[in-house]
Amino acid sequence: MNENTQFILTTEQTKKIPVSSFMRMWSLGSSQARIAARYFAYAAQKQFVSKDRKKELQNHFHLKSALQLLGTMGYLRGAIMKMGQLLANMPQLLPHELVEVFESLQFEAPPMHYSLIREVFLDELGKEPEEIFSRFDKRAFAAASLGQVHRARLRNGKEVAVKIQYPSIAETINADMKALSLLLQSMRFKKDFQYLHAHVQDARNVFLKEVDYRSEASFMEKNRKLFIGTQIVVPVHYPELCTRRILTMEYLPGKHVHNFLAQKPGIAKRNHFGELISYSLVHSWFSLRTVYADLHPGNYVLMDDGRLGFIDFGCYRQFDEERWKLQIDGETAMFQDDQEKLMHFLTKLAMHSHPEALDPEWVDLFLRQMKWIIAPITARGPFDFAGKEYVEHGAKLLRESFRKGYTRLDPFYNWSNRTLLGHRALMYRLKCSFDYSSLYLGEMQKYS
Amino acid sequence: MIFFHIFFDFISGQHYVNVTKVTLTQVTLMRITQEAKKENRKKILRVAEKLFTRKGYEQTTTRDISESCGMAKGTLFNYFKSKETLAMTLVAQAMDKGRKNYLRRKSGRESLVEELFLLVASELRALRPYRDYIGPVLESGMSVFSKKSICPAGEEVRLAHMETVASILDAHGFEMVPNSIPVTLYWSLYLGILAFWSNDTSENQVETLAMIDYSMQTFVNTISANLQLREAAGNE
Ligand SMILES: Nc1ncnc2c1ncn2[C@@H]1O[C@H](COP(=O)(O)OP(=O)(O)O)[C@@H](O)[C@H]1O
Repeated sequence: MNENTQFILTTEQTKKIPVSSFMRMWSLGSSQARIAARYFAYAAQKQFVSKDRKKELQNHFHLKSALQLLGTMGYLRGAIMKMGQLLANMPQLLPHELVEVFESLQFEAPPMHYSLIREVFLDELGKEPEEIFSRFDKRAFAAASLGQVHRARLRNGKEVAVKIQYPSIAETINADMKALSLLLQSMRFKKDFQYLHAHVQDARNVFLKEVDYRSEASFMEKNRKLFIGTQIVVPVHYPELCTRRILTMEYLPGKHVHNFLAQKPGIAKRNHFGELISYSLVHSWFSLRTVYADLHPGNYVLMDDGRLGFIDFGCYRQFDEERWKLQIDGETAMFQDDQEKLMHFLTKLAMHSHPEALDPEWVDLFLRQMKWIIAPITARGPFDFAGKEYVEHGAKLLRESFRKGYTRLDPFYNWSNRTLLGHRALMYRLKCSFDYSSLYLGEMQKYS
Repeated sequence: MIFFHIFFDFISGQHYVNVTKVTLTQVTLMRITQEAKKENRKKILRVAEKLFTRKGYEQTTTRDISESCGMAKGTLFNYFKSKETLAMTLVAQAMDKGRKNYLRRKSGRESLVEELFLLVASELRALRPYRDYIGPVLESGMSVFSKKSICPAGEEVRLAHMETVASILDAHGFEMVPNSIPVTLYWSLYLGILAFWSNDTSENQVETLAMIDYSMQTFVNTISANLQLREAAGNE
């Protein structure tokens, strides 16, 4: 991260928005969002076409303006955050710093007032929260990207978390996605534009799935069953209290990584949770063939009794048979250093028909990245995720890949890539070291 | 008012002991016709509502309504001057119900924005059955342009709504000055919400919720800023 971004990040993060006097910018036809979209597209476009330092600084300026604008927007920021997420899935398009800025915005959406929530409840469930729950906290205890989460108690005494989506956020984002697509049209003469466009479309599809909390609930249930009998807890949900915009689930008490670390836990505890987080990902990767595109620290609740709460199943991708086979073959080839098979994998990934068509520079970078990714697996025995050399090398590779900006890639690959990076970043934060290799290879063997 | 007092005393017979039989019969007759009139009015509203829903507002004529009621068109006219007045009356009744719901729902701990939001949202919810034809009705009944031909039912709706708004503002320490700029602003925003809502194609008119919130926030920001200005001026 360079100095400029550091500055932007810290100033934007510390400047809390005064909620009481906060003007919720539900703009008509969401013009604010459109302005912001223009900023982003502009910044992105600049990044896309220019390489010199001066231009880069200019981009930072635009980035900052865009972020300031964000700070003035009410729950529309949810929409923008989603758009950021979309863009973040295209590292080819955005500087890495911007991705981080977006991630820092994750917890800052302003709240809906209770009158608004009651209307959402009447529309969605035909009843007021008080008629449904024996207790319902009028203030949200956590922000979600498209809404907010309230604590409540069911009539049977169960403590629940109720996630409520901002009204019309889906419509707003849909409109903004269209705007974004239009803006991208201005780049259509650029080489490989079609691939860029494919990335946008793909992200859009994944995103559209996320606006329906019912689909999130059903995937959550699938995961809950998967982890029964382990130290990983996935909340039970209450189908009669779940709709497109309301998700009622068991409340999981505990801390997020950030608060957990603030208590300066010892290495044993950090390793314990690091391993559980890894297991949650590796296990669903091999048994459900899914990746979580939205992996961030807020997805995990570290419980006092040592169990790990795993929440948020809105944004995931599932591999189809063909892609899965390709993925596993690719991984195996990587472990065995089988050049021929690797080339076949890369050819498919870059959507070429012959290995000869591959860009050698890209192949070189890609292989180095893969090597970095699988290092904890090939290491055998405990691996130190916070090792200086490993972290610095990863950062360097990341910068290189953003600088090169390849877009010709199966969009699907973005998601697994993001999850992997998200995982490594989390492990780094936890400063943990454990036998990841056995965990990974054990699961791989079990499911092949 | 005076008339009503006399009338009341008259029928209760407390002060006018020497009333003749004839007058008493007349009074009874008057009561019957009053009640029959009330019934007729109710019936017309009921029939009209049904026809508006079934045939559509535009497609329904006053003749259709009078025929369905089994009365002459002229008789209908005695009760409601036009189809618009009739529809406006339905709207007014629904809004009334909405305001009652608002009173029931409010906890008294709402912020100003929240309470205004609750009022408008409650009204709109009660208005839902009439949403299909509320556009043309409001246009003729509450038009901001035709000052000359004010529809009495529409005017009633406005007054009743603004009375509630005034009491909400009062409870939050704001005084509402009739015909002041903030009041005009409020009314424009409110009509804007109604118009937006009547055309809102989103599921359950969910976009209107955002619109109400935004509008009320705008209004409250404006009057708060006014207050601050005045306070600042007073401090000098
Ligand atoms: N079941 C739960 N138990 C405890 N906290 C929860 C629960 N569900 C959500 N939360 C809190 O709400 C936040 C946002 O929820 P999440 O599902 O991640 O939202 P999003 O829709 O943005 O993915 C979480 O980071 C967490 O703090």
